[in-house]
Amino acid sequence: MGEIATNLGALFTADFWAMGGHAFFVWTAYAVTVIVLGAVTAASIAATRRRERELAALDPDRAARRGGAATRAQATEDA
Amino acid sequence: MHRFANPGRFMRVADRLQPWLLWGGLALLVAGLYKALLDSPPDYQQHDTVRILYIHVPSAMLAQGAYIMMALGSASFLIWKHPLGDLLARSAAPIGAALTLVCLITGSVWGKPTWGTYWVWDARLTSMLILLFLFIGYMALANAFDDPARGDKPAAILAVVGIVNIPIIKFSVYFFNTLHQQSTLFRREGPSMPPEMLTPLLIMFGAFTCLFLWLLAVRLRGEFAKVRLRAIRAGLVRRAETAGRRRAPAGGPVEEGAG
Repeated sequence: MGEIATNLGALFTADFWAMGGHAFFVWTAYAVTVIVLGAVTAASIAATRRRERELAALDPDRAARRGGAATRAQATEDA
Repeated sequence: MHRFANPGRFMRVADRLQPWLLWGGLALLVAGLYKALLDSPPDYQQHDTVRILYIHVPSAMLAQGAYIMMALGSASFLIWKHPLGDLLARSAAPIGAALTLVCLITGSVWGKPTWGTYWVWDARLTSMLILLFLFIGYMALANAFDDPARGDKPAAILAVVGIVNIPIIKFSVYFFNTLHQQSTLFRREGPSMPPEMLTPLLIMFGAFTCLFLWLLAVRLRGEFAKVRLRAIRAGLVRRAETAGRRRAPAGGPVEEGAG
């Protein structure tokens, strides 16, 4: 536990953020990871929510028991 | 395995797993970041830039995992006409593209201090760039048509054919002269990495895997909803058309109902 506290304490030192003089490379890599993966996550959640909302508005019964066999096969059959 | 080929059952299983994957993944991410940034030592040659390893390697492995998933889904769609395969491939593609992009950019900013260059056209880097283009090409083809039933087949063929790139990525560091180092994890004599670096790497890999599967489930739900929406809308249009025809005295096509 003491070791973790000491390690976490490093967060408040300029030395940690300097990354031994490689701050630009290390933090660019981590920032890009957060931004790119954050963006695809946010976009995916938003798209799924929007479609499920539209679906619930069109077909309340079906939406209530979500998970019913919604398949491409059915879609082409219907169309 | 066949029990899970039923889309409804598959989604119920995915729904039940989702919170575990999300919270487990986030917990692993916190532990992994702590280990990677605060607890693990700097490398004796690369110093602190070695910490890029802990995001670069998991994203590279999962990018390829996403591609394999997309190709298998597409193959099952082409062979058995299984709709779930197509939806799985459509869900995996954007996540795989994002992971490949992350892998390329983190590798690039790691390459500058380590190799002295952001980019070289060598086998590993180029085959990884091709992987990105395959993901983008798949997405472009799959969404190119207003009627998605026209885009799914060419896209699936691209995904299946593109799988040849996966072994090229894997063996690029053995068969070609490349700046990229060879694998330190998958070798006959076991990983040649000290445990204080291997542990954070494995934890980060676990975190990325859980969160990848969680996001895949989120996207799959969205794809299912899209298919249902399309089916319902097609049904509504058809109903409007028949109603319109009944009302029209002279028969013939009714314009407002079409479309």
